[in-house]
Amino acid sequence: MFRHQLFAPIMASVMRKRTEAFVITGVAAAQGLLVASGLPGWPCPVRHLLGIPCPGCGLTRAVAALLHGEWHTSLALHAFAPLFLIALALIALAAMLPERPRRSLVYTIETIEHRTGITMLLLVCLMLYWLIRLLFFPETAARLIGR
Amino acid sequence: MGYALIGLGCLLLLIGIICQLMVLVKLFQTEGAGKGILGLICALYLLIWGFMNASRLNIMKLLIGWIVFVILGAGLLGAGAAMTGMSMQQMNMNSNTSSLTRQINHHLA
Repeated sequence: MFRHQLFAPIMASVMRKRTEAFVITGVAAAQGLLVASGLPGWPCPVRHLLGIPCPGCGLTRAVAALLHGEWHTSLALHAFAPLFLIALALIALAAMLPERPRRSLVYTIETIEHRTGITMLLLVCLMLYWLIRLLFFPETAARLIGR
Repeated sequence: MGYALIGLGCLLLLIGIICQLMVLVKLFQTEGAGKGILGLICALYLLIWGFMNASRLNIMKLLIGWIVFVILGAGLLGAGAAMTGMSMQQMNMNSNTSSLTRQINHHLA
C-alpha cells in the first residue's frame, strides 16, 4: 500500500490531461506576470491569516528571480524554484506538443516516476524544507511574508 | 474602522481557508496522497483541479465560496492595515506637531 502510494505517478497524471496541463500553464503564467509586474497575485490565506508562510510561499517570486538570472535571490526565496520551473516547463510541453511526442513524453515521465518515486520524494522533501525553514530560520520566513 | 476591517477580513479568510481545506480533503480522497500534497503546496493547482472536477464531485459552490472569501478577506485585511497604518502615522504627525509647537513657544518665551 505504502509502496503503491509512493511510486504512483503524479506529474504524469497531471500531464496526461491536455486541458488540465493547458489551464495550469496559463494560470502559472498569469500569476508569474502579475507578481513580476508588482501586482498582487493569488492571495495566500495561510500567510494573511496566520502570519506564517505556507509551503509554496515565495515560489512565484523565486521563479521570477530565476528567470531574471538572479540565482542567489531565487534560491534564498525558495530552494525548490528550479525544480518547480522544470515541472512547469514539462506541463507546458504536455499542453502544447502534438499528440504523438506528447504521449511519448508522458510515458517517459510515468516510467521514471514508477521506478524512482521521485515526485513523491521531492514533495516530502519540500514539506520538510518548509518545516525546517519555519522552525530554524524564522528571519527567512519573516522575509517571505514581507515583515 | 481600520481594526473592524481587519477583523472582518480575518473572518472571511478563515472561512476561505475552511473552504480550501474541504477541497483539499476531496483531492486527498479522490487522487491520493501525492496529488494531495501537491494541492497543499500549490493552492492554484488545487483550485484548477477543483474546477476541472467540480461537476463530478459537486463542489462548485465550495470553490466559488473559496475564491470570493479569500479575495474579499485579503482585500479587507489590506485596506484595514493601510487605514490603521495611516491613522498611526497621523497620530505620530500630530504628536510631532504638538512637540514642535511646544519647542517654538519655549524659544519665544
